[in-house]
Amino acid sequence: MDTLNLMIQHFSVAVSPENLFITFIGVLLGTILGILPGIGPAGGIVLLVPLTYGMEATSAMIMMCGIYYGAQYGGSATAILINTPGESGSVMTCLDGYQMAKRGRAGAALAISAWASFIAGTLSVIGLAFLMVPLTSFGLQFGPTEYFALMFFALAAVSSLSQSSTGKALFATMLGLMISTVGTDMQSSAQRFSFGIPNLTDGLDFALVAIGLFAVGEVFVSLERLHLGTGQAQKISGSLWLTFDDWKRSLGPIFRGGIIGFIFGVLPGVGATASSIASYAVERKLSKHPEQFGQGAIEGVAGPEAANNASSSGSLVPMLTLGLPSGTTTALMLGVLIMLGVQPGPLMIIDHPDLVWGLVNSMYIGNIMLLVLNLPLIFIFVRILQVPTGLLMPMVLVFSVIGVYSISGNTFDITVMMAFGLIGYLFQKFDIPLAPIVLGVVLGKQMEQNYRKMLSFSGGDPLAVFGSNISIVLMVGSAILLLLPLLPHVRKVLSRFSSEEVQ
Amino acid sequence: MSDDQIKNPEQKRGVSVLLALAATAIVIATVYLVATMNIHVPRLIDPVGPRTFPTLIGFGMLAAAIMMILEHFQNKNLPAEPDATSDIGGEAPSDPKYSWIVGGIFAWSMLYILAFEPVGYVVATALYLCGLMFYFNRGKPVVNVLVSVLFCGVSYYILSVLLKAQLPPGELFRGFFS
Repeated sequence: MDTLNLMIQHFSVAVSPENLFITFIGVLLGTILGILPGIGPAGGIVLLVPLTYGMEATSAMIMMCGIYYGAQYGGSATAILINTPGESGSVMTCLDGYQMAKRGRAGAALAISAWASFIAGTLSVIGLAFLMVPLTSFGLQFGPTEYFALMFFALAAVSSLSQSSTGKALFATMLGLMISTVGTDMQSSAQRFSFGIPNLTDGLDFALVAIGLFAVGEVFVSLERLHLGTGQAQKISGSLWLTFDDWKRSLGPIFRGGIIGFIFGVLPGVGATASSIASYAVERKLSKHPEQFGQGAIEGVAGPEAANNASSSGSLVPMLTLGLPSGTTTALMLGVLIMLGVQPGPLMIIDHPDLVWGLVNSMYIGNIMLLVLNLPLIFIFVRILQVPTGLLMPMVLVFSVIGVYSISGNTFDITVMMAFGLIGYLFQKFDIPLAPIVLGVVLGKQMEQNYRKMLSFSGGDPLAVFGSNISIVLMVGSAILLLLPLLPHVRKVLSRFSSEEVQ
Repeated sequence: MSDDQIKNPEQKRGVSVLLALAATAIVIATVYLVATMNIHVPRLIDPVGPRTFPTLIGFGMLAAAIMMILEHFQNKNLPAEPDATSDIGGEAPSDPKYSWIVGGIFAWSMLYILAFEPVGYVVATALYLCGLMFYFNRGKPVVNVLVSVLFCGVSYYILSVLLKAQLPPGELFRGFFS
């Protein structure tokens, strides 16, 4: 009842003309960025980070969230029409969506992906709203020890559940934490790792690290891939109206996918891609005709699409209640919140109710807008696929330069951004995940502050990290997460997770 | 299972990448820990000090190196796994022989950054975009020039004139654009 009252009280924030417009811009940009192969939600969000400097935190978050879940809708169009996921969460949609398109049912595939995203997206926002109050109450019991343990757990989870290698992910995490320590130490004013360079005394701005890694790095990869050629887009064929049989076959997968996606979204390090893989595997196992999967089964589109959209709402649960990002995009959003002067954590819902509830309410509206954008207007959006990469990507590079220069006004930061672009490119080449590095950058400072407070309160005893039941559970959980992949059997299962299960 | 039983070339590459990355991690951790020890600690500050957390991170990086070495030996014993998503476009790793392209873009971008303030946003960006578009969107010179010039002009007007964002007009064009 409390939740319902709070939602109703702050509904005016979401329906103010300014925020309605911002929601629309967010979901529109998200759809476009989702359709464009290469620039996913993370790339889109980082390019817009400089714009948020002059915005209110509520409006900035509404726009970024709109981009986030909007990209999940848009990504499916690319997956269905050119067999290339517009963003990574749509990877499973390629398997049956593209087959449906090849068989003249592209319209039905696009329609079910839009409806599945809408239904699961809306239900998961309800889940998000109702989980926020109890989780916030739980978070209010946290002190520096529990916070440090929680952040440690998040970093361990993101490293351990990485689809490449735990060692590589841990390497990226540590690199991110190292970046966060550059600059003047807040307590002692000591200079750390600035090597006498004046531009480094304030540390490395989160925005230029993120823009470099995600936008510039992605441009480098896309331009390099231009030489390898791109797929031919299938024409949108068949009606966008779904038959009774389509609905009958899809409703179960949509609800199951929504539940899987929401749960996976809440867990740190799991995210949209894993949730869509899990949903696909579940639907295939439950199906009476598993042989149809991979040949154009509508369940293979409905389930994963519902899952990847629900996971985006689910991932906001730890971010809004505990100030804990569960993946790349939420880490970027958290970075923006900190940049705008909002302290994330359980107190956010008390100190900034307009922001939290305004954001949740805007997601209901955004999902309705997305359904309208992605059904009748999908024919217009897919024309974006015709824009040559050779024209688009150089412009993204310039947008990145503009963004960084408008923040700092110096070319040193642009050089650093380009260097991070190169790092982002190399990370992609060597299959090192980017999410842990961003998480390290965003959480590093807070983690250090909590660690220092914990040591100060305990008279310098590092074992104080095991000082409460919550922190013991989190630290033991972290150790299990980090050590489990080293066991040969578990490693074998993890490596098969994304392949054998879906065959 | 011996090395030659690994049939997947990507997996072979992955094994050597893990060792190379482990070596890189050890170098980074060593440099970082040495730099940590050299942090000047002012007197009369908090008892924990500015070195404690970075030391923890340095050892964390060493742990990452150890983990990658362990994974290297484990991967040797894992058979190549089939990938159900291998027929999906766009996700395949790019060909290493084209890596020089990225070096070229990076070098061209460095020149752009050098020219950015003295020459100014509009001219430097138009030239930068033209260079990239002529290479990556070949055979369409008119489109490339038009898009470059229009993009620079429109973006400068919107960002600098309407939104008052800071963009360098350039020493040569200061009077003209401001």
